[in-house]
Amino acid sequence: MKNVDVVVIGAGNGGLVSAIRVLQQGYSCLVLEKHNIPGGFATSFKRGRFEFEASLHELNDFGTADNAGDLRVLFDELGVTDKIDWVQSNEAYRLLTLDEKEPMDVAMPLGVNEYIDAMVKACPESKTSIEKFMNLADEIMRAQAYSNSVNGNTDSKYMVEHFPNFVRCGSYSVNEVLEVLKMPKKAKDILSAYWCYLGADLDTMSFIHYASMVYRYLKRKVSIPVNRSHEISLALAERIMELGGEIWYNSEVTEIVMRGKTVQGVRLADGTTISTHHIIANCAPHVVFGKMMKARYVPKYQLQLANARKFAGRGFTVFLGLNKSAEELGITHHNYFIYDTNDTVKQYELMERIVTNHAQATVCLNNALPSCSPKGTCMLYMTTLFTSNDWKNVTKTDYVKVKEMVASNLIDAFEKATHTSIRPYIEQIEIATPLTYARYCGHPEGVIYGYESQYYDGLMPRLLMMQDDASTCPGLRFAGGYSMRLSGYSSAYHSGDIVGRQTVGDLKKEVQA
Amino acid sequence: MAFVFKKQIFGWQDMLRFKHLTKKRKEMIESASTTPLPTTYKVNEVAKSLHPKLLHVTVVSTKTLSHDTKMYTLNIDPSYPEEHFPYFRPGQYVSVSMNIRKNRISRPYAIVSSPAEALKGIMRIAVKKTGGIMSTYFFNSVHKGDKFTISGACGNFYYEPLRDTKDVLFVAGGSGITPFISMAHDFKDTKADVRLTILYGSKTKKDILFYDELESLKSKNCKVIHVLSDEKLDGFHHGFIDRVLLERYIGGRDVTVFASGSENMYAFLRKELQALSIPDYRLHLEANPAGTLPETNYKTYRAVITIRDRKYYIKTRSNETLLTAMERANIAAPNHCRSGSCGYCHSKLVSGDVYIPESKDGRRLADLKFGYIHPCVTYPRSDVKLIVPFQERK
Repeated sequence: MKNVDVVVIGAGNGGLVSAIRVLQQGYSCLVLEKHNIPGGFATSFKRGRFEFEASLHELNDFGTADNAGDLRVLFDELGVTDKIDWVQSNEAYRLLTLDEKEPMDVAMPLGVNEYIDAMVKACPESKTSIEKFMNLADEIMRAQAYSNSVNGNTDSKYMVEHFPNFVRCGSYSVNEVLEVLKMPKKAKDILSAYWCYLGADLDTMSFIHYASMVYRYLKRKVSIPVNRSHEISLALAERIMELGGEIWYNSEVTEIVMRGKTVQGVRLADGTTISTHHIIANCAPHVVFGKMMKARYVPKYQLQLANARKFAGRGFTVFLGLNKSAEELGITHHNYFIYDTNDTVKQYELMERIVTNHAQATVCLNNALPSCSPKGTCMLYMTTLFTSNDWKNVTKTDYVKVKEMVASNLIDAFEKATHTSIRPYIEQIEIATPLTYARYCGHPEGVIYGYESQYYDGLMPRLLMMQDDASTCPGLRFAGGYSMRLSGYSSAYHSGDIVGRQTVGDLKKEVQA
Repeated sequence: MAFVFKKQIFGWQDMLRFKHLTKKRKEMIESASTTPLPTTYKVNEVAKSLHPKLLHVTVVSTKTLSHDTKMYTLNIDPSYPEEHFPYFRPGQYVSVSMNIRKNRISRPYAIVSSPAEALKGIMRIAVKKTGGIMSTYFFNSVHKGDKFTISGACGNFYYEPLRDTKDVLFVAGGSGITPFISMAHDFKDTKADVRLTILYGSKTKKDILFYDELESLKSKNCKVIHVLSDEKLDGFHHGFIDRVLLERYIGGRDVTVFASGSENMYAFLRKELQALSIPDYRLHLEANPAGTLPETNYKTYRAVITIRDRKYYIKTRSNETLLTAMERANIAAPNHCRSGSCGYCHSKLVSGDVYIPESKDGRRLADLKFGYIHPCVTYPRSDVKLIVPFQERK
């Protein structure tokens, strides 16, 4: 029987990074992936003369060599930065709202000062509040850097002394904090635009988490892999092989083999078993404790933890290859946020139903990377989220009709909001629904954002209780969008870094014991 | 510009609240239910039923369609009552796998039957005798009651209302008619808002497949025109599906063309459509599997194939794809389309030179950069080393 120090279940963003971390310390590692390629959602696919990005809009917190974000520092340490061709964009987003009663059409730049200037231009009375926001966000980022430097074992006295505002605002939602900052409504609406990247409305979303994300966008600007996220995934896979690790594709883990409370190994769909005492699961705890581990071994704590949580958004994306250039079509921006309403709480409710949701984060990659499709063409990806499990009501015979309808609604909404016409120029189309995401990555209900950020289950409480969560199930740790850093590309990579290093720590302790 | 964030009356209350974040989380966990977690979810189950990985089928009848083509009607093997045919997109294919002289062989076949038939537990495929290993085996050795496996339905060769025009033209050559039977049935069954014209080229009348079925599909929204290249017959066009014929049936209309036939037919059709100013993007082609290259003196090479932690040392031929070489050596390797488009055989070329025909090169940009290939359309030009994903032998 094959025996390895660490088995990684799932070659998604978190799993791949964690494997490199384990291998870099000289331990053996086998990555088991049920799909035939690495990356999970981080991949691409071809239709005709277009190569579509499957999920990445843009990477935040990456930056350039002389303005490196945390993610770039991580990629440098992993040894993958230079395996990937990067392009940068200075554009934050163009925000549009479909509701005629509260019209919104504003384009925001990246760069902290540039963003403040644009905000003040759009909403002159917002100057003080947006500056305070940046001030808070900067302190949050410094506090996070301190926390990382001590591996999460923070000294509360030091925190209160050096990052008092971080501690004071740390338990509040975005809207609670913005209210304290007396931010005018319009500025709040503009600043809220990124909310759909995290998927919880801003009454619920933790301020620390949101502010930290926005600030990392603004400060380091955004980076995009020239050859789609498939390039990042293959670069990470390449690095794993260079370090002597293995990735087995088409190799689904069906069972985590236990003896008492200890992990003994994994069993694959074809019956092969691998012996190991350390598993990093880059998949949903719901799948691990509901399907892979026999019920009698599942710790009560893990069962309750899973049952206490709420699934975040289920994904839906329309991929369009258009046979006119972005310029000809009047598609002026790289990144569009189009909402039914500026109110994130109301929008969240509209996203519960298939028929009421038109919100979309839409990307025209050509406006950041003109060479991404042939001359005279462009690509457009429209992504939305469903905040309830409405797709469970779709039958197999209605499925195609429903997905065409939702895609059609998103296209209509885009045309209406941007005053463009794109429908006649559709040369290629592909539609990914919650069923697609459920099928490719095995996530329950087609969830793409892991567990939703809640007051009690946001970034801070998860980080602070990281060890409590792991200690009830020794030998098993979680990476990826369901884990302690929540979902998103940067978060998933960082979760892999954290968990990979923690697992190395576990292995070292084992030797000492 | 230092400021003190303060929400509660006293700043320490804000700090205390922060401290209580984990307390609150612990309480939520402690008060949560201990009900076992679901083993699956409705959305995941519907997805699985639409896209089964593998189905066990049995032949319930065979029918000779012409001197070189037979139809096989399949049911799910009753030993697998939990399986059922997917409600697929008409125009898709299945990959058929069976043991032929001990070797595991797979080939893609377009689904002839409609999605509605799939709901009734029936799937039909048609096999033309080409001299290839599987079609020969089908023709000579597959009878009623025989069993084999098929993949779920694959491929993107289907009508897409958000992309395609309401005027639709099918151009079929010979056995290329198969996916169009499924598509035409589905247009009729679902009362699709489509005006369909089928131009079907055959050598002679006796080579026409599904003649009666096509007659039954004819309606005001479905024209069927037979074109015979080698026979002059009343009521049939004589010659090829050329610009004159195309002009007559679709001239002046914004039309989406689906074509299924030989590569030669595609090259000719593309030229004829250009002459009628029908843009290339309006043309969708059914992919043909990569075959044996017409090399009279093929060379032989060696290949080292790594699958999981096993290595296989095999011989390859310069005129055969690496996938065929693996099949010949009886190595289970993943494959579906065999035309370089589905990506299922995606493998890492560690070393060696290869030839990939441009028209079948479905590699992504990053694949080119990191040396990944699709063995189904890749011909060796030297000894090669390859890392191939696992494929269960079923």
